[in-house]
Amino acid sequence: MDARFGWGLRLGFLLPVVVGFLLGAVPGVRDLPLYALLLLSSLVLMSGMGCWRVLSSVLHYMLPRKRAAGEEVPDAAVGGSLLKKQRVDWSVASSSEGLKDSHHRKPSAMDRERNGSSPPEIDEDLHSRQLAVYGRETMRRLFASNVLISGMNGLGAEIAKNLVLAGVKSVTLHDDGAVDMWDLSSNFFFSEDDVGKNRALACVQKLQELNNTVIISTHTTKLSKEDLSFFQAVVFTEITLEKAIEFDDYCHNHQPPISFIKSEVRGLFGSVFVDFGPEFTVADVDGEEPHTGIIASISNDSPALVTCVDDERLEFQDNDLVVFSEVEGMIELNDGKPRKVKNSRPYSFYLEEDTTNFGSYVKGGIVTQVKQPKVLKFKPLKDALRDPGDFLLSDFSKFDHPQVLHLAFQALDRFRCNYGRFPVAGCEDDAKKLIDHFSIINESMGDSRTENVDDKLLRHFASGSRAILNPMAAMFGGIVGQEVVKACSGKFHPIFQFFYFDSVESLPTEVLEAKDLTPLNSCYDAQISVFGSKLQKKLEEAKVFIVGSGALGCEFLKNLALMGVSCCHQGKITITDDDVIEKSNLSRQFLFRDWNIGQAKSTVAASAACVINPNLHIEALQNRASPETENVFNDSFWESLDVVINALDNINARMYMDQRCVYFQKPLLESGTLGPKCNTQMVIPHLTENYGASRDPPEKQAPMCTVHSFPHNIDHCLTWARSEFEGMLEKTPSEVNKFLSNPHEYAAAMKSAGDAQARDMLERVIECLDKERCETFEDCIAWARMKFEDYFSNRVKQLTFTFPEDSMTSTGAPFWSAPKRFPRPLQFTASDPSHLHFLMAASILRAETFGIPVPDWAKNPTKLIVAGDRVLVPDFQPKEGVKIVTDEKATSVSAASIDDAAVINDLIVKLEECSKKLPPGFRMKPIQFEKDDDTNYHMDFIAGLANMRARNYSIPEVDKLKAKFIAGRIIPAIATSTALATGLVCLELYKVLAGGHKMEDYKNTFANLALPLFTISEPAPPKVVEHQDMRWTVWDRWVIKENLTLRELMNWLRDKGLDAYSISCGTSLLYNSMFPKHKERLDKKVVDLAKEVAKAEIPPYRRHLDVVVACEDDDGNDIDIPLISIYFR
Amino acid sequence: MATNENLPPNVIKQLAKELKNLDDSPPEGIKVIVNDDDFSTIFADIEGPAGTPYENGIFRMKLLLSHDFPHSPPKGYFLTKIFHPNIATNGEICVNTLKKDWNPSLGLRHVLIVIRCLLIEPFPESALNEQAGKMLLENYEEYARHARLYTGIHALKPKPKFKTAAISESTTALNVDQKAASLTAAPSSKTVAGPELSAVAVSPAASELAVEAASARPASATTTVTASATGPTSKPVASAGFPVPLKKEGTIAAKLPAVDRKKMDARKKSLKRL
Repeated sequence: MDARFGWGLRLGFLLPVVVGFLLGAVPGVRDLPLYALLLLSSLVLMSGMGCWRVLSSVLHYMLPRKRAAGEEVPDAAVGGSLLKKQRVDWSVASSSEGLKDSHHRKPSAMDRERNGSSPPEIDEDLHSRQLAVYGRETMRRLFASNVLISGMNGLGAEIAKNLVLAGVKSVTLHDDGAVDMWDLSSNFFFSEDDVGKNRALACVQKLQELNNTVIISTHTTKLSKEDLSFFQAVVFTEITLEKAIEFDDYCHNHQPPISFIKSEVRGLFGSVFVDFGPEFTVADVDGEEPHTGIIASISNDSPALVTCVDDERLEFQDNDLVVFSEVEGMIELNDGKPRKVKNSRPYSFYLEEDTTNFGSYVKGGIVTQVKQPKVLKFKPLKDALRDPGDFLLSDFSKFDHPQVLHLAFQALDRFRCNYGRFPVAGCEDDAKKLIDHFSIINESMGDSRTENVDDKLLRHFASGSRAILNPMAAMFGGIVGQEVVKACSGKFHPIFQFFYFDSVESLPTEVLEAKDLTPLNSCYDAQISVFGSKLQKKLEEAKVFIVGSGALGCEFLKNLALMGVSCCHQGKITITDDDVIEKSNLSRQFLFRDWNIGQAKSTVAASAACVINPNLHIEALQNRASPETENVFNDSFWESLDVVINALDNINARMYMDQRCVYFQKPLLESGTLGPKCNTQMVIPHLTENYGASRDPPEKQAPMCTVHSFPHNIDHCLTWARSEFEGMLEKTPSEVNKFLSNPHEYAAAMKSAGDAQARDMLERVIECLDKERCETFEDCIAWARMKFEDYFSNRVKQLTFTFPEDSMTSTGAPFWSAPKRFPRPLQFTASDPSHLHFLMAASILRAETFGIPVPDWAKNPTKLIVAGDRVLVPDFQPKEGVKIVTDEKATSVSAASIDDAAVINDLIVKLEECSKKLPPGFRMKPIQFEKDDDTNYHMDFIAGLANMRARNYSIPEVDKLKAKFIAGRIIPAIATSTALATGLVCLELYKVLAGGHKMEDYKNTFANLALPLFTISEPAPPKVVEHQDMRWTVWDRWVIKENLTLRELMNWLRDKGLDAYSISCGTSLLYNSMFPKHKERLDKKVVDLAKEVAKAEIPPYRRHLDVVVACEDDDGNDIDIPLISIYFR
Repeated sequence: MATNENLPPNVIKQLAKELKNLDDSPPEGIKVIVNDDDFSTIFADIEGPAGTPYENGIFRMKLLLSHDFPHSPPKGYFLTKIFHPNIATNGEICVNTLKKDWNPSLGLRHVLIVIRCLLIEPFPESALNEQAGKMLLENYEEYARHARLYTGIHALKPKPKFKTAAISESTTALNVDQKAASLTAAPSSKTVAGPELSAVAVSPAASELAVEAASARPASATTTVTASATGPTSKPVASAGFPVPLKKEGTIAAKLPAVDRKKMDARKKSLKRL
């Protein structure tokens, strides 16, 4: 499939909209420069001729304003939409300016005034995943920050992309150089047409497309240090040390200090220097939620011993500060004063406090960690160079590299100052010169000089230093982008102060000749200068399968396009994703624009990647990777692949891909992110363990009774709320429809199930069609009002009637002791906005399930109050409890003990009765929970349910956004950690495609940008199983080239000293010793059994089938044997 | 109700291991029943422990395994009605092992033992059936009497509560040609497809019902792993272990005494004694 064709089609569809928008929606069309109008009219003309190819690049520049256009909802009350509109106008002007000439522009006083005039509002739909990482406060600070990025090489572009996606107030791009061929291998904004243009200007429009609420401007002349005063943070990617020291000095001493970051990537080497001023306060050092504990007892002692319930392990550390609340008895602790933790243990800790004279502890209490800000005193660059302190270490096997690189980067700076150029790739003479500079600097360090320097490392450094490789730029773009966010917000701990990294293992294992490294005047020259043209050819011819086209997928496609992977006729990328683009994707998945919302992710991403590199050979599919699509991703597809790259967001799909990769013996490059954290794992056939060999512990689930009756935190309330939502609005209406579509079949199914769950379901269906059936919106309000009463008053009254506050357990302890919280009923009050909001959301959703139109007044509080007040709510009488039948031989017993099946029969009769009263063709509309639509009332209802329940139990409530994060299981995500992960993976991709690397050359990473922490280590080898004189791993396969019977197969194993007791094919059991009947199968051919029992369809081209065998050795020990492939034809 | 999700081959292998182990050394008072073409629903008959109000009862429960098993815990339900603080009226079980304390290495044996222990020692503090919890706390004797009453009515019943539907629903192969299966089930008393267990199903009353319910009868083998030391025949309640398709429980209950002996014999043959 030609992906660009698809792109063209979509442009054709969009064009009238775009033109219409530009001409009509922008007030003051006459202010548009004349050339723009000309361009537009020529677009219209050309569209008639269908020259989409020609157009695509032009249009690309003209489109960035669509997102704001979509937001212009006629919502008169919101000043914010006006604000956005203003920005739209502005960015049109700015883009035009960029096209017109190289005149540089800074955010003017006017911009500042406009943006400062009202507090920046957060587009929560767009930024929800990022908000889940940063929180509103950090986001607001980001929105108020102006950032300078100097040096628009590949690294500059990556940093700019991450910051624009994050949504700072303004980004100013500085560069006074021109685009050359070497830039094309790392800066994805450039195309060959840009060669010769100013680098900052060549980026600005495409950058603006990513987020038009960010003001993007350019500075194309020499920068003076006074220019820096406008910014909160400045980043330099290409600056001489001398200039850097001068600028850093200015920033360090500026009032308030300006955060200074210098970062460079040179070949496979990278560096970051951070100086946030003499005193920088980190508000949140790790980004983790404060830890809490539920108190069980506190001693009157000094220090006091605090024990907590054994519900969850405590995560306090010594010297953490904590505060107390809700403590009964020892009320002195509830004063809100932070106290220090000592000697912390899993369920207890000592408190640095003398409680001897405090009241004695009775019950209750919650202890919460108080996160402490941290003040960092940064050294200016000139001091830090001589006295760098501790380097942030990333790979313990290379613990000596950072200090060598610290000097090497200085030596490179001298080399460049002396010769006005970089060392030539593969040039021994230049390498020597660099090493000489290195030695001089090293000697000048006196006592802190570095001994035993590895010249080979320095040679690699010198040889590749001119090249900016995309994976390095992506990786450092993520790291530096995060540092800027830290500088602007105080969120997360900055790098203090140097970070060095190298990936020399990425080089091919064979020695590269200087002639291999010679530039070919292609866009891959930079990469060739490091890896040689042989590897470049391998990259171009690679056949790659990328699974997933979300945040990771977009980054991977960009990286691969720049690296030239699959960029020739023999090469091919297949990317698949069954998802479509949603608004919340746009803040990270940077290949998508908001006019792509609703389109297939893989197709849009593939088209965008082709714009980055027109040679890219790519096919985009919309198939989920799962057993159901094995006809698409069949044997020949798999066999053609060189490597598989996972870009997935769930474990199940990862496990499936792992299993497939193991089966077809393909390398699998795996990565994932969670907020600021990311990990990468290389799965290389026969060298490493597979992905599924180790798994994280499962997520803790709350016990049923906790959710049902004894919640003690908001998560429990939200779990309950979601399950109520699903039961009431999705499951019951679907059941109703199931019954109505085929009453007879439904009744039969219920009868044959005959259990308590079927009875429950039937009761609910009847309730829905009979007592609680709604015909008007007023009915829905009445229903909602009664639900409120039931949930938040009656049920609580019943529970506390059953277990009064002073109940005792069998051991004499209070029943309502921690972690249980005693609930109190709510009294519906129309004046309470949350009560009313619940009423509104519940009745609107109820109306939806009954297909009742929602009247306009439903959203009017006064009218709603009136309607709510009309509902007659009967007084609640708690049930006295089950009557005890004293005669055990009694034949007639209370209703509770009647058999379900009998009840079901009665219920079905009843159901058939009430279905007669329904209008013909009546059906309900089940509602499926959708978290990301802010207008559908789903989250309002769930948050309402959860918060009212929280109120019952005096659990702190949460706002709708937080409720959405928890109930919607939103995975926090930011662009920076994604970029870092994909950069790291692509450094491994060089190894995989070059081939011949040993296991210790491969690297797995765990990183947390919040701390920051990098843990790079070699992968684990696969587990070896030994039996008799045989050894095997998960990568091995046993092959039998014979069409044998089950018995013959078992004998074959017997000869190896193995007793098979269970043999399965796919998900079906062919033989298991537990089932006597299976003995009859012994003389059947395995292949026939597979067809018969497993219904296996073996495609004509396949000559074998695979069976999984569980067996024991002679001593009865279980032996994990490899998969057995039986070649039956 | 069945999840009907396929289990990956490695999990099937793992389950085969676990089931073999349960077969080799069964836990006390627990009988495991699985269908050979669906490991994702595992039935167990738990003997009411001696000295509890559940004594002499046989409580059938099921464990539903998700495709993510053993990473995710199984879902457990009691199918036999029981009066117990930690078992909801709809059969749901509240036990930490199945939620908070789940760990993939625990295994089915552990789960089953924990659930049986729950019958010995209920936890009214974490009640799911609050009435039962309250009664246990306030008046143990009344609770015990009530629980015994339930046991007497539901768990001693010499009628099988095993619902074939629960199996066939989760049996992909059977769903595929359900019609064929029910056809073969109907007239002949010597169905080739049917192993030992089908001998029960084709007893006249039962087979008639099976057809009427249009639900597939087990065309494949079901094994029963017996744990009771004395063996099932020593108690009349043991026949509760039979998967017989039911339509009207009332009618079949009336006919049961007649087929009881036959069933015993069939059972003797069908069960692998332990």
